[in-house]
Amino acid sequence: MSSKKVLNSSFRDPSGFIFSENSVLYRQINNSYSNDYGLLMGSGLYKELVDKNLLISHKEVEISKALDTSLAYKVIQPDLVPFISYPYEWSFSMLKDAALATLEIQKTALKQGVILKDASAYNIQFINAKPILIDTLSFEKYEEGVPWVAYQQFCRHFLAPLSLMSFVNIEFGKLSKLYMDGIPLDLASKILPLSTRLNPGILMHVHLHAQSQTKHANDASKQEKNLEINRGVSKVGMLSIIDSLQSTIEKLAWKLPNTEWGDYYSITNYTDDAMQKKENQVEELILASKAKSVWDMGANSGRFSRLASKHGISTVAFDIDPVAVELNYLSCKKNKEENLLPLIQDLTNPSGDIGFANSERDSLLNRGLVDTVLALALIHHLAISNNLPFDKIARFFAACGEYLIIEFVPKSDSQVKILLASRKDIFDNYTFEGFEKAFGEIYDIEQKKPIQNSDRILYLMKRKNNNVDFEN
Amino acid sequence: MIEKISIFLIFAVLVGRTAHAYIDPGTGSMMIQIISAFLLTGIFTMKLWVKNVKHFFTKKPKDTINNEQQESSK
Repeated sequence: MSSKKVLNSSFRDPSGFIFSENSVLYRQINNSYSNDYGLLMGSGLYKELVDKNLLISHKEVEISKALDTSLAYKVIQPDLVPFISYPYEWSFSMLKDAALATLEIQKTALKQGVILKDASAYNIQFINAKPILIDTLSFEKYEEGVPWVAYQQFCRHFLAPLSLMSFVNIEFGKLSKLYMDGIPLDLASKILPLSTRLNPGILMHVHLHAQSQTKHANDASKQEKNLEINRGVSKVGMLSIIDSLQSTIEKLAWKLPNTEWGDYYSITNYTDDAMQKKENQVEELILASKAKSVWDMGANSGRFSRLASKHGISTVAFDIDPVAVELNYLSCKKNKEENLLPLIQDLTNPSGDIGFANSERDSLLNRGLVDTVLALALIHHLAISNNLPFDKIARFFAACGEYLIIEFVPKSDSQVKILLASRKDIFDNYTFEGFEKAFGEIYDIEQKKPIQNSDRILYLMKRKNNNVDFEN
Repeated sequence: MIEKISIFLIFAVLVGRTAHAYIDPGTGSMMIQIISAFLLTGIFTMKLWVKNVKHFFTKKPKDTINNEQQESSK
């Protein structure tokens, strides 16, 4: 009985698909794609893109590994992505860099007579904080005259959300959760302010593009039109469109506002010395857990996440605040950091299973398990601000990973006093005893360290049960 | 007659193209590209031309030195 399983999201492209066998990921290339694959490899394009770190590298394996041998031309094994993330979890600059990478790949390909046949944001993943194309079968032979078939997809997946985030509100990055194939251009056009019609790139690629789509939506008689269309865009015309998209996106910016979290580390309780001691304690606990992977929950701009990533531990830094995630990403870029992936995530409403049959894009929990979860300066936001009982919080963290490093912030702490300032204190159970008792049902408490200059305590816990999903 | 045959042949050839394009490009999106390409090609070509001119002028002093060296070695 074969343990080969096709990935739920890999079904649209007849050129091939991704499947797994015994936890190893393979891509089957079908016979129909043989010429284009030969072109990709033989023209030098593959090598050029891999050298520039724009395309995931792969090795060819025996064809007997194919899932469907009647269709198979080749089977390849691509390098692994440490953590799969989705465009609605990326900060502004992450989406912008993913867009620019796609255009760079397109320009490089066109020099070799090759073109991208799709331009989905889901084809880009981040490795060591750099965007990289993971769909090796995105390429096909370029026929001069034919317009870019993926132009609409590029505008929906990249230009529309970026312009909404830049000109209206950063929260529009989350709109792509609702539209599996990018944001509809007529919707984006309606939401964008009128002043964007003075921006030539936005005018052309969003507003007029949307109008053209509406105008031709019901065109049934295509035969004569096809002749004209497939001669309509010369190579230099194509390059000028790509160039226009590139300069339009390069000019899109997001002015970082002052949110309550942006200035976080300058308004906390700690002296420099105490902060350094806390960092040392957290680092010790991370190493004690022997983690090879870490999720830092409520990571802010990643100060403590780096205590893991600097040891070569694959680390994801989640935070609800787009400003914090943006600052974290920009820092990763500037310092060429490795092993760290900043992402936007609301822990009270994390990414869910979406797409067809609710199984194309995975929920946060379905992208676990991780070795160690970090929950520093977080418990009071979940338990008090969000009224979550301790046992629910414990079970959620246990469903994420095996070890938990958590900081309990008591009511005597000034941060909790702020949270309770404007509301009735109904949290009788919010004490050290209540916390240890509730978490003690799910975890074994292995270490307990008080934090200097505060009433807070740091814990290292190990999950009791190995088969935990949230419902258990 | 010849016109009809040649249109048929062009069509027959074109139908075979973009065989792997599995996504729907959208007629409206194709049409707007034709218009955009028409409007943008001029600006793009100018950009390239300006780039080449700049490149030409930054290369020039080196060329002159090379020429002088060649003259003096004759």
